[in-house]
Amino acid sequence: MLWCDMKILIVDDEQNIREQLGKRLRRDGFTVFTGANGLEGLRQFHAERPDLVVLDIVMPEMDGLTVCQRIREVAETPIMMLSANAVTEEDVVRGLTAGADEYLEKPVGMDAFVARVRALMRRATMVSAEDEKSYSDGHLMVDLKRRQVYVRGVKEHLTPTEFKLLAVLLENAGRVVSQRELLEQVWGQEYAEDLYYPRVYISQLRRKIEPDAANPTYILTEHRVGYRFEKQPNG
Amino acid sequence: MALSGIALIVSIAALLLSLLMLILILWQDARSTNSRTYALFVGMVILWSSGVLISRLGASVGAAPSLISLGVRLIEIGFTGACVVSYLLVFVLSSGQGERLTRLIHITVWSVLILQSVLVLSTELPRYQIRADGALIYRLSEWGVLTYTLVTAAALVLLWQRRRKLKSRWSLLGISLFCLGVLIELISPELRYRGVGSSLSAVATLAISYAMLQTQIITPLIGRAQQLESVRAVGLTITQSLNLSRVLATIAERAALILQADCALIFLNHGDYLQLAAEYNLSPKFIGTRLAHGEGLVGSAARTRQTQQVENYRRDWHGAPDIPYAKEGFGAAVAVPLLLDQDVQGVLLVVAGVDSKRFDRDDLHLLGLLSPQAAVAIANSRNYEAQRQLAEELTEATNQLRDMDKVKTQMLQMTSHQLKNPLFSALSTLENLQHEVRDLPNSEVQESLSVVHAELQRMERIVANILNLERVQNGKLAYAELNIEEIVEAAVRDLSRQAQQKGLTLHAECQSPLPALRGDRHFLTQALANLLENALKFTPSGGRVQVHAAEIEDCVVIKVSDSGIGIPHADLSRVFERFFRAEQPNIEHARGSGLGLSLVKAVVDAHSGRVWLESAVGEGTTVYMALPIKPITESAAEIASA
Repeated sequence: MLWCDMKILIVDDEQNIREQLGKRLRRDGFTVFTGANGLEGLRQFHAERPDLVVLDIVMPEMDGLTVCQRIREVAETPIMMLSANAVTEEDVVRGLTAGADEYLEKPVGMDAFVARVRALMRRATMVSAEDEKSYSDGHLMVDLKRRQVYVRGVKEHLTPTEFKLLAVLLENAGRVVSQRELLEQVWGQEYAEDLYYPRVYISQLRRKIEPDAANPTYILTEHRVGYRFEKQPNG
Repeated sequence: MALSGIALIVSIAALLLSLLMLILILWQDARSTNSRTYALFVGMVILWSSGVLISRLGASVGAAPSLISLGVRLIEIGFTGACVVSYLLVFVLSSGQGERLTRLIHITVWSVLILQSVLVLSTELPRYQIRADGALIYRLSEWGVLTYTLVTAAALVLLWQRRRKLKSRWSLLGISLFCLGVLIELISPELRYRGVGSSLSAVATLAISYAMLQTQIITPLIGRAQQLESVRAVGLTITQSLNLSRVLATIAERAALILQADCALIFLNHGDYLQLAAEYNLSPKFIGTRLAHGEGLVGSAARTRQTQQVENYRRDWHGAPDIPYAKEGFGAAVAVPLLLDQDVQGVLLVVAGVDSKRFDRDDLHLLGLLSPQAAVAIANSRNYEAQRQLAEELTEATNQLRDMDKVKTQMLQMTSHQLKNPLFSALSTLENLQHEVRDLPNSEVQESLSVVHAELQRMERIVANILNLERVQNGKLAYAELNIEEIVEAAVRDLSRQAQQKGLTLHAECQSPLPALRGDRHFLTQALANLLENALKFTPSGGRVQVHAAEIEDCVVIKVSDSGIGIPHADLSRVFERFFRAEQPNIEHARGSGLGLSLVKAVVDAHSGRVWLESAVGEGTTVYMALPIKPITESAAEIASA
């Protein structure tokens, strides 16, 4: 895949981190813009319309979570959180709830960082290349081509990762998809050990599409194996 | 005639009552000096009154002159005896002290009595007349009148001097009345003829008898009741309260009330000094007054461990005053050491005001009953108070430690977070730099950069370990149902390459099926990885590392054993301590943060499990992690996180 026309926005208050990440990404063929704080990052986003955003969390002016939420209000651009904050599941959930697709903890090796960026890009672009498949029952409608999801007729905003996850499950409807399979198909080979990713995203997805997230009917958990998408009778 | 008739009846009745009381008193205690002197006195008065009765009845019925003479003789002997014994009675009733003095007075009194009796008996028959109105007229010898007047006057003077020492007002009244009767007998022959003096003396004897009854029987009985009451009250104080100040106040109050003292003070022993801790009826401003051992009456009681008593503080106490102005305000005072196992807990000082009461043997006896209980009460309260204080200090210290620990944790977390950004900055710069110089011919630069990179990564691992440890210890775990086989597989898979590179055999074996358990996947995997890394690190090339998981009783036990260098016995108990690293002189490359095993222990603890190890130097080490199968409830998770 050619990345030269891909634009990445890096928002971090540490100048050297911006420079070094930028240097590495440029070397790999990406076009890079930077922002030194949340507000500047948001301005850059609107000015440049990047294909991916790398966001620090603790920043002056506006923190990364807020920037993420602001972006999500207008776009579904893949967002990667890159934070020095302790990564507990709570932190990850907070970031994902704000709309991020990825949560990386500083410090991270440059190669790993670039691999994650590529995986995220791949996830975002692959969806649009999906066949014209769609699913519809009385409650849920998924338009894979247009990357749109409707719940009870109302459009639901899904992040690229959430959408990709739903697409993989839908593709394998009626069959159990293991956590590792999900990781590889949705996130990529680099994520094979991050077993908690599917769990966190599945719960996010359930909240958005299930009639009752506590008693799911679409995305069912197969104990100690994985997840299964169950098509509902057209009602 | 009617007057003398009434007087006669009154005196007979009074004497009969007195006789009854005498019998009671002698029955209660016939051996005391008081009882004997009193018995002698009553006997003399009865002799006198009998003489009056015989002679006057004889005269009125015209009896033989010898009978009347006998009556008159009895009058003389009884009168003499009563007069003389009255002095002795005043002396003993006013608590006359001193063996010699008492003996001297006895000898004098008895000498006078015997001499007078001999004189009376050896002289011719007494002269008497019977008047036309039937009244018996007899005369007393001049020197006899002089003697009786002197003795009576001496008795009156002694009575006045020692009036405060008499325990009953009835004795003061009775003896005064008796002396009055005697004086009437001596001064007025007319009233004597009518028997007024003897009747008055008989009534006086009744009063004295009542006083004796009061002091010998009634007061001791009441005293005993008070003793019981005071003992009960102190007992109640001991059991009902452990509040030291309340206990002290009650003891001071009780002591003062029981002894009818004007005030009571309690000094507590503080080792080097005694300090006034409680007062009754004194100004609270004196609380806190200190006395050295041996200083004041109180200090003296503490030093000697003996009760110290003065009748008159100003006159008799020559040492330092116990409190300021004590010499101006204190009369009689008693200081009782409060002893428990010969330890002076404190001193009780009971004080009567100037010109107020004096403390006698009974008072001291009461104090003797009170003081051991007071000592026990004080010791208990002080112990309790000391324990309470200790507990408070301990709680405070614990809270401080907890706060400090919290601050430390926060600081550690903050520092670690603050380190992450510069670390990331340095690592990313270095990686870019490494990329830029990768084609340079000088491999030394690249080698140096690699070293810097490795060190930065080590620093990163340490920071991550610190944060992980804090996270686990703060209970930030995500519990879910786990398959231990998966965890073992994942950990072994991660490290198999490392094992291979070092030429070690890494082998895992799990009992199948293993029951699922609730736990944090990430941290349990991390804990197992830490154990495996350690095993690989300390096992020389060609060795083997084995993982074995099985269900044993209510636990899944994961065993990691190696054929490594082992851990010295002295270090075994410390290997799970934070930052502890055993001495490994032959393993230069084995550089760790000293946090790996701490994290293992923290993770296992958070799962309510147990971790232990067995090791022999040169043979290898086996670490066991036992994780309970019983699902961890929310509360258990909370406890683990507390």
